[in-house]
Amino acid sequence: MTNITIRKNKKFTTAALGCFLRLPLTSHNLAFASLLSRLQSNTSMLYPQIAEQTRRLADLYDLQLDIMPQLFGKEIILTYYANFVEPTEVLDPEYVCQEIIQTISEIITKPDCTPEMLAYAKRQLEDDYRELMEQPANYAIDQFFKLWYRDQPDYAENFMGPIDEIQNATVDEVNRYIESLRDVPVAVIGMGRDHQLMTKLAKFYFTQAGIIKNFQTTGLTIPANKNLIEKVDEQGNAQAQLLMGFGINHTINYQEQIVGLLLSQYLAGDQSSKLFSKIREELGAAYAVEASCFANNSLFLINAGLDPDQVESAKRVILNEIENLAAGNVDEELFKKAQKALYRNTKIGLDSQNWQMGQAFRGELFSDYLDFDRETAIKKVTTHQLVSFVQNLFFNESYILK
Amino acid sequence: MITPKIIKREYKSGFKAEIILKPHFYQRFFGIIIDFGSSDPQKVAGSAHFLEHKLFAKKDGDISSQFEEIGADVNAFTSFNETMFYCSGIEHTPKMIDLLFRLVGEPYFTKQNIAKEAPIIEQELAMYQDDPMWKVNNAIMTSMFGNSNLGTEVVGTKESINQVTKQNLTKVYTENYVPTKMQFVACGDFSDNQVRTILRQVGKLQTKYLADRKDVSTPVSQPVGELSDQVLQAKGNSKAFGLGIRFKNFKKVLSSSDLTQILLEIMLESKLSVMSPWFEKMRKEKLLANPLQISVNYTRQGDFATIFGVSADNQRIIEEIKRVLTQPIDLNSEQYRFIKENFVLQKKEWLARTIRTMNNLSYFAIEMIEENLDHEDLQLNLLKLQTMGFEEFDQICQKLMKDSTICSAYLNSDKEEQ
Repeated sequence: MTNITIRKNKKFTTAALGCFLRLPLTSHNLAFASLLSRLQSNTSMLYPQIAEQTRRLADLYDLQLDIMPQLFGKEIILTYYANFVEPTEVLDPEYVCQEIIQTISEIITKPDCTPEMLAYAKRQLEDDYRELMEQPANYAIDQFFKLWYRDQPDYAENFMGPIDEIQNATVDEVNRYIESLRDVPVAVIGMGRDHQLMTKLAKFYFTQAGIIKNFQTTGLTIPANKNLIEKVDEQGNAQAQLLMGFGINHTINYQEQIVGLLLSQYLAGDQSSKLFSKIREELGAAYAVEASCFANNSLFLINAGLDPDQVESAKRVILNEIENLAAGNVDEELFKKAQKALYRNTKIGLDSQNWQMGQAFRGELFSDYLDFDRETAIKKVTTHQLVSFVQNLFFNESYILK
Repeated sequence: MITPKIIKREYKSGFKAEIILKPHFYQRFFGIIIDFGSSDPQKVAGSAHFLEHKLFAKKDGDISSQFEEIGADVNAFTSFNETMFYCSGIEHTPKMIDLLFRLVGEPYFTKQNIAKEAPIIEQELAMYQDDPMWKVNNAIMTSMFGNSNLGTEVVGTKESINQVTKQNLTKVYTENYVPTKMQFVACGDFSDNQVRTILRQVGKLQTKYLADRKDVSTPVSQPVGELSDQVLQAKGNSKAFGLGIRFKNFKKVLSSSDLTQILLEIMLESKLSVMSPWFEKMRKEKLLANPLQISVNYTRQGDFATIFGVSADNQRIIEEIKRVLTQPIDLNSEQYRFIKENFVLQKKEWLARTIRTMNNLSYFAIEMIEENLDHEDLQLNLLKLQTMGFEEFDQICQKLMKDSTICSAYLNSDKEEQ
């Protein structure tokens, strides 16, 4: 029994194949996963020149291969996600599933770390990191997580791991890291018109030890430690960034995750959502407000780019609204709108191949995930559940970048 | 490649509609596009965008709320020559179409609601201004097109946003939101009966809201900026740079501006992409690490390309890009061989790109209606590209690039100066 599942593609013009490696989140693992991702995006043993690998993918009708680490609570998922035109769309006799999957597997399973390519990957990441951090919204989110996990540095990195660890990595260290990955749990998930052929090919080409290991895991949620911190940094930007983090006081189940999503929608999902109308329409202080539930981090985050003179007013609005909800004051009309929007988004998600692949992946990672009926769950959420969810939140961080 | 079925209709007023059938999709998408955008004539820069925001205001409140009540999502965008309003949902088709026409067809501008919108748009502008790459882009656009509407950010400037009045919003609205400049698009899984019903409903609504309006033609100017090379003082560490190419000879290829755009993008990619011998040289000299962002645009006010990237030595990389773009290519060179080989790959890439587009219903619908507005045909252009030989491509590109002018901008970090 292997962790390979390829589903039938019934409506998309492209097929997808994802290979996922699960390993514990540490700042070291994240830094090296970022480095390896960049190395593999450039070259591999069979395609040792950048131009060769890029040309090979271009020749396969611009096969898109995204390689990146993703964070799921205490775990890193080293993700290789390939999206390619269904061969039946172009009817080119040389463009066949076997060639496509063989190429993907060659790049994934045969990394090549040379001193020259390692130095180049480092330069790419340094450039990326510097330019990312020059954007106040990114810098603020980076600082927010560094504060949120100030006592757990392994979880504090949000983008690519510590840049100094990336800069100091040696070829030997990267090769040891690659070696250590040969043993971690792996799942291969896909979607194609000829899913039976894709399954056979995936079984033939993905034979690493981890493919038969248990990919599913429990306990990846990082609990939130109650320890309020409030910080303001000054950069002299045109717009201030406000990030307010609320801890969730227990590990939430699938039904509660739906409630968390509904709360995001209720507060900042649409034009008439609560914070959108209060901060944007009434205060005229922002162009956009966002609210997100990070279930695996026990975090409910509200953030906005604001007129620097109105940050404190906006902060008060947010705290008041959370208090208001915790006291049971739910705007029934808005609640129904949020419920409808969430239902719509879930239905329309089925029109997206990436969304379907994301769901399939979560089905491999989390127990009974695919048995959970999201659509019914959304329809069944009550205002009482929303209030109860908010009562389980505690204000834990405010980070302002001006 | 199986292309979706499209049903088109033109009404007596000149208003056009098209319905794109996408079987098995849950989403139903509806949009109205207006052939008027930020770079078109308007006294105050940013008026088209301000108008896009303000049309959501109605006497009975923000119309978004009514979309939300039926579980629909609504949004809008403004580009150089277009404004588009769109909504999508999974049910309540007739109501969504009703609301979409009311959104676009029933303005309600007051001194108060305009004053209330200005700080929100200022924050939208502030959001962009904090991005170093925006500073580079803004400098290049001004360099190519001066302080014209095309040279100015789509949302306007902080000053112009506060100069918008009820009078000038009303003027740009009545002059541009006319049936001959507007089109409707629907995309989704509709039955034959639903198609007929939608087209009937659209016919009634365009009569109700738009029929009496007449097109006011305004002269189109082609502004030219100083086309200079600029060093921008910046407070951070960003090493962003950009180049702008102002085309003098951008002409339709095989009756299509879109095809011209595609060919120029292919040409620029061939010279500058990570696969090119030039990039490999730049990489080895540590001038570039990540790919350049290349885009070609055509507008009524001027045609141009932009190239963005980051480099440890911005001054030198700008010189190198200018050199590779302007120097003649030796037919026996490695570069020429690469460009020739790459043309085959680029054809594949464009075919794949078109095939991929069909999976994203909203994106596909917007793409299709934009093409329609520009009298372009996506599928036909793809066919023309696939049948084009390399020599023809090479000669066309040389003509298109002739007499074009290049300008540039890069950030100079104050921290480095210290």
